[in-house]
Amino acid sequence: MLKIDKVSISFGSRKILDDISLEINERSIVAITGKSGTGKSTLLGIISGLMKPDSGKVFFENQDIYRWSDFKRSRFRNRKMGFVFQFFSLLPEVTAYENIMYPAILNPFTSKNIKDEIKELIDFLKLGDIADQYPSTLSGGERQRVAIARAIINKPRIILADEPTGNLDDDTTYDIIDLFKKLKEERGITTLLATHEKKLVENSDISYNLENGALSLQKRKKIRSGKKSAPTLRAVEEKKPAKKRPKKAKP
Amino acid sequence: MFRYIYRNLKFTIKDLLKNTAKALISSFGILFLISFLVLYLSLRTSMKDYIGEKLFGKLAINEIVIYPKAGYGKDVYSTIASKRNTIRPSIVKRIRRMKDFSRVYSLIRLNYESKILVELMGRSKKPHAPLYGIEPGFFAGKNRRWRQFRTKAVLPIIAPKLVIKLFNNYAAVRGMPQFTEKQLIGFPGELYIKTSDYYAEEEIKYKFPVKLHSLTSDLEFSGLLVPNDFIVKFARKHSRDSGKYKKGYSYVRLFARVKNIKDLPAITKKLQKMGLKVKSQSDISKKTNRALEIVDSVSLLIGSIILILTVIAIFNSYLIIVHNRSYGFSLKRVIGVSKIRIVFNFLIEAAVIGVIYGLIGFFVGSYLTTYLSLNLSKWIPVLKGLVLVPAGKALLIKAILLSVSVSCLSALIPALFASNMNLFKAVRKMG
Repeated sequence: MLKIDKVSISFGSRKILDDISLEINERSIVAITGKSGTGKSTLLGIISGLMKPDSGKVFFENQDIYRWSDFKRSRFRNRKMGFVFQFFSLLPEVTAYENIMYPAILNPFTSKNIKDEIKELIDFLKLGDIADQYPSTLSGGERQRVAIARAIINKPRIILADEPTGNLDDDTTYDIIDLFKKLKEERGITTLLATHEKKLVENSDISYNLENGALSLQKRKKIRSGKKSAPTLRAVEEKKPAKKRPKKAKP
Repeated sequence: MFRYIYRNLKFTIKDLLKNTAKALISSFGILFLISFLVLYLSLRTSMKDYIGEKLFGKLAINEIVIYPKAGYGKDVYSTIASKRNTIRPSIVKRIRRMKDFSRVYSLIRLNYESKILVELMGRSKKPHAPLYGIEPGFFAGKNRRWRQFRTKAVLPIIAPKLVIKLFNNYAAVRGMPQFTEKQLIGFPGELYIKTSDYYAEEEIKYKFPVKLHSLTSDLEFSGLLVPNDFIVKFARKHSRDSGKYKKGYSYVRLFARVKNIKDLPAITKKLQKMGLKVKSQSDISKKTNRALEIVDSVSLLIGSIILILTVIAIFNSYLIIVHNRSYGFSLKRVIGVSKIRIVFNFLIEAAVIGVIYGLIGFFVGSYLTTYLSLNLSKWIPVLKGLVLVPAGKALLIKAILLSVSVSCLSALIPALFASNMNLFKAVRKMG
């Protein structure tokens, strides 16, 4: 679906990405790890068509996106891509509902029943109570779920998530991981994560490490063996209700 | 598609309203620019009119007045005293034949005694009123109703503006209300022309109903003005009333329009050789126009400096706005808004600000004009009599257009910055 072919980019004399090639298949969760400043966000910027690389090509469904006009690339981002950022990146002056609605407004092919679709999405992401609230009144997890709702409103093929759990606590991080998995299984959406969150890496289908401008395939087992392993999704799911649900008083 | 346009429009307007309020404060400079422009243009128009009216009279640059040599500088009354104070018909013919003029109008005087009877609130007066005639075309461009100034059953007459003062003096003495110029137009009267000699046994008199057509300050005379064909016909018809041949009218002045202003010195020489005097404004008008050109150039320079400073100030403000809103712009770009749309939206915001400040600036400028008009003579006594004309509707549209242009021009580069920023990083960092 998405292919990056020998992409290089430098900022001044500093080479950020050096001849990187990568192929991302449909219905997968791909994680890119690496230290801060290694170029993870730059890579996402290039993939999204917002940062033209110095050399190399980015193909989406066998079409070089940098051969398109800015207008076409903008349409492509709007219809085929969803974005999730570490700091949630919501428009502060509009409500959660309007934030979710915004990409749909830009899309001329939005269906007539968009309001029903948003309602369905709100139920899917459990945002029912907060839809009419402004982002400043929401918690970090709620904001990120609104951001994810906004990212998938136009039914994209791929979500680009830049440190999506970087600002969230552990419980909320697992919620978000679950969500990405659910999106993959139920809606067939591919997710490309730039993160150094091990929990995310562990739950990805494939992960790469970006270091010194080069991308290398990372083996999951190696990560697990390095330090104390992260809890599996099932373990978290079992744990969570016990934490969140208040104990019912016995009659 | 309609739904798409409607949704986008709704969102854009909502966005616009929210952002415009903030941007209005930072673009305050346009208000001063537009106010200055309105005030300057009013001042300039008024100054030009003032100079034209007070210093040079009503004569246009290509118009000349031809006098009989003895009559130059004297009131037209003096024409009755001597033949030297009139222009001979043969000379008039020669002048009319000259190819240097596009138009020649003649002021003629009826050489019979004439009186006008007017009745006002039951009282009547019948003063002497010398009768003059001129071609109606003379008033083209000077009097809106000039086409109605032609011989009819009720003869139209034009009186000097002085008449209104005399009329109101009379009214004041008699305890009657004062009249305005408009109220006097159409005022009826009766014109009496006596063609018999003073010593004749039988008095021959003719009576004509008349009504006031208008008042004028375009001619220096103290009688009544009628269409010249009336005088010519009357004089021909009644030339032998007293038993002996008498020429019924005389040429007093000629008003000519010169085809090419450069030929004026040569034309003046020709006319002087015919024993005539010429009065023109060409030299003095040239100097005035030159002086006004200098004033205009200096004002243009000052205006341009103000314009540039305003543009820089607003440009700076817009840059700050772009910086403050870089998160929003970046986010919109990431979500799928194109560069063109970002620039377009920003320019629309700038245009709305331009319209608002254009309107406010126009009204502030107009208010300042009125305020100055009332107080200028107190501060600068030399300018006593200068009436500042408030700006018209045409200027309102120009002010809005200029304001919109300045605002959009100042916003263009910041808008391009907004559409070209390092979006992915901006969103990531500024959240």
